[in-house]
Amino acid sequence: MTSESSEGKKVTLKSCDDVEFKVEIPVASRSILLKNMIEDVGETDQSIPLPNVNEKVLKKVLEWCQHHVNDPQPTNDDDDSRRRNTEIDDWDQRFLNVEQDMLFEIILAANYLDIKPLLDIGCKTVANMIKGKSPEEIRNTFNIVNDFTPEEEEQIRKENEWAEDR
Amino acid sequence: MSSFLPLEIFEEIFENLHDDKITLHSCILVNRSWCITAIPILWRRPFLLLNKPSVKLIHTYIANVFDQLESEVRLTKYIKNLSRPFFKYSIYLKDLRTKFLTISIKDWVNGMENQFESELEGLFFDFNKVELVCHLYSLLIKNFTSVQNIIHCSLENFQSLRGQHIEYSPKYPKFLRSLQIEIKYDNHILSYLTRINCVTLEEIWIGPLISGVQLDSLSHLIKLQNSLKDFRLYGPRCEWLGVPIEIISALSTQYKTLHTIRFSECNFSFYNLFDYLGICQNLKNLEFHNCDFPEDQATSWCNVTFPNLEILSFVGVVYLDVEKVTTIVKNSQKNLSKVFLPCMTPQEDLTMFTEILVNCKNVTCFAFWANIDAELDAAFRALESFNRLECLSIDSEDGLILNSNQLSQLGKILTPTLRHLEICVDTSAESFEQFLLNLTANLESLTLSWCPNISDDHIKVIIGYAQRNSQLKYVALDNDRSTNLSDVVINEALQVIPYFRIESIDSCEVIRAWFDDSIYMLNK
Repeated sequence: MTSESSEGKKVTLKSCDDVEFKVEIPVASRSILLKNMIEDVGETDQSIPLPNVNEKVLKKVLEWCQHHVNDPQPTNDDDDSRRRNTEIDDWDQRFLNVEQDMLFEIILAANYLDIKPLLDIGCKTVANMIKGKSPEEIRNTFNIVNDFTPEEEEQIRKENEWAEDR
Repeated sequence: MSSFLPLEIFEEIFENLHDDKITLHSCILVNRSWCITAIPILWRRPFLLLNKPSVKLIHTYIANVFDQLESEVRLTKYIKNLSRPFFKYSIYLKDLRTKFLTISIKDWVNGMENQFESELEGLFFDFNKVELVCHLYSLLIKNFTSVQNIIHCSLENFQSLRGQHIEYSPKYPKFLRSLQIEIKYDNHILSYLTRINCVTLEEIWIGPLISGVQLDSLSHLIKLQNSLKDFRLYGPRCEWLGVPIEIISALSTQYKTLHTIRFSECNFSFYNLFDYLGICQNLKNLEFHNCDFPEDQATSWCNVTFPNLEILSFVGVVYLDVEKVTTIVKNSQKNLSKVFLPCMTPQEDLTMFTEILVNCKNVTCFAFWANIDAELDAAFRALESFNRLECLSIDSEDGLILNSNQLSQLGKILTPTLRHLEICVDTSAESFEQFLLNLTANLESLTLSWCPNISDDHIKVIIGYAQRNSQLKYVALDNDRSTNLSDVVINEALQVIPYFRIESIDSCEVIRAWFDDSIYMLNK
């Protein structure tokens, strides 16, 4: 099975469930991992295997790369500016309005493929889901088990009591 | 989720919450792995997150130095209810604010005393409170091994601690990049940093100074640095001989890296400032706020240009001839984004507007003095070319107040990008209303620093504007001339405008707030 993108020089990406995607090089190059691979290998007919990303997630990630194909590449020295801006633009918000499992899969794929802007908005989206919630509400939202003993929890709470002051 | 996403991604997620201590506090109580990941972020800048002293915070820090305290037998009874914390919280601290540290320790010690007073009624205490505060201060500060930024307040600021000294560690601190002395200049910390050969500072901000202070250590410290980038000095202009030449000379040794120099309330006597600073060709921001330049300071400036300047400020500066200013910006007009011109003679102002400003297309902040109508006309022509203007201040030495026609003309020139406006007006409420109706910009702040005939009707016009434009958050009126306003109208304004102040206005203060994007802090 093959899924094609638009015109121009293309590279073939292969998901872990063996689905191939023909993608224009500028789109694939939103991923620093792929960009470096393409630069190292040069033009090739062979597909690039992505053992950590399945078809469903890869398709979604490529949709993001296509939409942001003309964005400037992030530089190494703008870590602070990335973080200062907590807003997510409308298209990205709609793009990440997905099931929680899918959101985490996209974050993992962005991390693996080294797509910093996508990783950032994924993390911001999760941060917004956490914001303002109590510990119990957070555990319920993400289905997390509390592994503190009551004594540990009490001590941590006491040591960090200052942070509860408004 | 915990098993699903790796820890490094948690870190990224929590970084987005770095200034939200309430949510971070929730995060640390979710489970162990969330706790371990969020604690270093929560404890990075607790003093800034709290923005006030906290006994609870200091209690945990003191518990961290429990082992060192236990050895001090005379203290044991006061710390019997401290237990060893789970984390060594002090190693995460990056931003230290010593004013809050000192007050918190003082409050903690006083609290301890009160506690024992009730438990051990009638007994005397066997510690000296001042000694204990200084001892704890020294112990804690030695444990802040990762601190990068210090906002420092001298012990001299606290009556009970005057004359006391802190015993600093000979190794501390390795990563210090910013030192800001916020209140009471403290030669002690500067000589300490010089003594331990601290070379990592990128920012040194000093001020406000008290008169007669010794600045020897400051010039030594400046010279030591590997790459000083940002230097700011706030001096007591009226009661001070001026910035010593040693400091200016030391700054010139940092010429490769210095990008910001800001002097506030300073004067420069007995030397030509730019003989030394002219070498700093990478300067982006050159700011003089309320500074004095001697009238006889000679022509040596005339050859000094700073080709990379983005900000040039001579707010409240007098006695600068236009030639000097023109030369300084000769090669940097295209880069200039903030320009605050000195107060000059009318003829010079006209030359300035025509020679410099028509080439400054990227100006976002602009302040000038206009003393006669011809100057105002020239300035308006310059303003027409500023299509990205965000802040505008028009002030006057000789009492030029915008009349109805001038206000109407100004309204036509101002771009939709304008956010902050400071003007002096003397018009009818109707003309003022027409001006605001015609304005294409949604102002965030409006300062009327001189408005001699302002009435309730004017305030009602402003209220109407605020109701149409929800962006308007700050309005300031000079109170010397606003005493006839009725309380009813003022209260109505306070309902609609979050920051509404009527008081004496220092134009310099307003403009400095624009610089630092802190206009709303002025009320405090």
